[in-house]
Amino acid sequence: MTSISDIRAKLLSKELSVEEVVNAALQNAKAKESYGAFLELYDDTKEQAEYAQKLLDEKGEEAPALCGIPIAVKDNMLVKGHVATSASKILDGYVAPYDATVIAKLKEQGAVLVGRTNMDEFAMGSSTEHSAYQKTLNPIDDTRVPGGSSGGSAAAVGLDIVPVALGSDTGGSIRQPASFCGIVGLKPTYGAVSRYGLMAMGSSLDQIGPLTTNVEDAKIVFDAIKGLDPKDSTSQSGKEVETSKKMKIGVPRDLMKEGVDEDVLNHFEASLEKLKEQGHEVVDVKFETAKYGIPVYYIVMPAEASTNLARYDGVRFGPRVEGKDFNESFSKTRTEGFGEEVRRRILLGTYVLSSGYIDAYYNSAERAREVMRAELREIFEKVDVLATPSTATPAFKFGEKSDPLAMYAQDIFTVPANLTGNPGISVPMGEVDRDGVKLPVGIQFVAPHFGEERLFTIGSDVTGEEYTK
Amino acid sequence: MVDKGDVEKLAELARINVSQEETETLAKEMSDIVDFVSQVQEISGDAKPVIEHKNIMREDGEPHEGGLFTDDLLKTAATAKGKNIVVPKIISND
Repeated sequence: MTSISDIRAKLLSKELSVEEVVNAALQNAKAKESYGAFLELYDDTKEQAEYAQKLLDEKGEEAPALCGIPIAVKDNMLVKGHVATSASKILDGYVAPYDATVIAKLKEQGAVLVGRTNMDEFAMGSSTEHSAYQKTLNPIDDTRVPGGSSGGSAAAVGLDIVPVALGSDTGGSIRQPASFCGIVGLKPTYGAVSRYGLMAMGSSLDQIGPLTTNVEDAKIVFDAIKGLDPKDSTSQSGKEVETSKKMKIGVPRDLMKEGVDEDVLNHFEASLEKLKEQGHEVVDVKFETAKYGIPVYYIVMPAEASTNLARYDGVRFGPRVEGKDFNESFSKTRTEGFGEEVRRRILLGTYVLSSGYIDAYYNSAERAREVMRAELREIFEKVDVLATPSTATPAFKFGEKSDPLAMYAQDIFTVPANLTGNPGISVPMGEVDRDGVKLPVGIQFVAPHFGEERLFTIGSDVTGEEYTK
Repeated sequence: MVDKGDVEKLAELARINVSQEETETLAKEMSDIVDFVSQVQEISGDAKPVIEHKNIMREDGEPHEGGLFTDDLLKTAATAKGKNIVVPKIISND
């Protein structure tokens, strides 16, 4: 797969122009249209490429790292003048009136935004099957899902159309599709990247991050998009934690006792052996509250989502379905505009927040979250990073997880990091054979807050790539 | 346990219409989910109170020029007239 540095080398040596790079990406996207990675390819790439070329010609080696690099954007981030729908009918045709902070930062670097990618509606799902518009096929096996909710972004990178796509991760939505598509996915520390211009799902959980072909590229994109933003009061410019070359890796084996595919476990153990050979230390740790991750998550997230999605009323954004009065218009718009999973989560969120239940559910979940945070803080006094498989299984087939709880269980290894705000990365650790197809599986590392550097260091030891800070 | 009556009430609060058939399915699915998530109460009991939420304020100074974004924002509304968003009537005469 093509990396940022591959493209940059060709741009700097003038072997290729930005326009040629971008046109190749667009042609590739059209050739692979049947995979359904993109909802739309932008029509202003020529102008963007011209700007990037000018910047590159002026600055040469000093040009920003992402100058002239084609990038795909998940459909829940605002790009001024372009449609953004969160793959929902309720925002059909909505044109973003401003740029998300991450988009503004990419534009400043001269990155070329090629189009918006498919996703589960409002990022609710783990397979991209909940998109209101189309299916996205797994790049390795088209009978399987690409994961989700950033499935279109993962497929766009996995299909080698773009070296970078932005995704968002509320419970695993970057790391799980990265694992299913054989690429790298980073969920940064909560607050490290501004959420301004990201359509909110679970505001205390959402975080934007990159999907890339290697670890180095994840670092390049993270550096480009991170930082304090006055427009997002939860953003921070935290102090980076120390990273040593040789780390102590904690493995919460209790979490893997059941439900994890045997081939996935074998690859996981083999990766740990490889890391030991490279001088890292591997120890067992107890992370007892982690098993409560999914139940806590499925209270907090729907609660926040039901509140965030109250704004879709057919007045300020998207189309309206007319009724005899305001309330009827309101209900009709939402009933026709929201898909099944979104409706289910809104009702669930309304339930856990309603008087009589708020203490038993929402408040309990928030207290449980605090217990998880405390336990994780203690764990990180003893180890540098935590390691688990990213997902319990390789990519599953379309329609295989029709029961909501079965789909929710997908997030078992990824949700704790969202609940506690810690950064996590998924990197490819090998392939498992299913019906003669080699399906990729990922290993996940989680670090203390603002410990992304540890994730890049340990992640590149798994992939075997040269990585220097 | 979430029953059909609960689903109807929640749907009304959330401004979502559900069909009779959907009410039944949702009651079953939501009961399963609520049963499953109830286990949070096993660990939340002796927890310290949740960290206090704080507001991050900024000075309300240096406003941008008026009307700078009005047209772009009006364009995103379902119906607009002049500089206003048009909404269905809220108060009836009878």
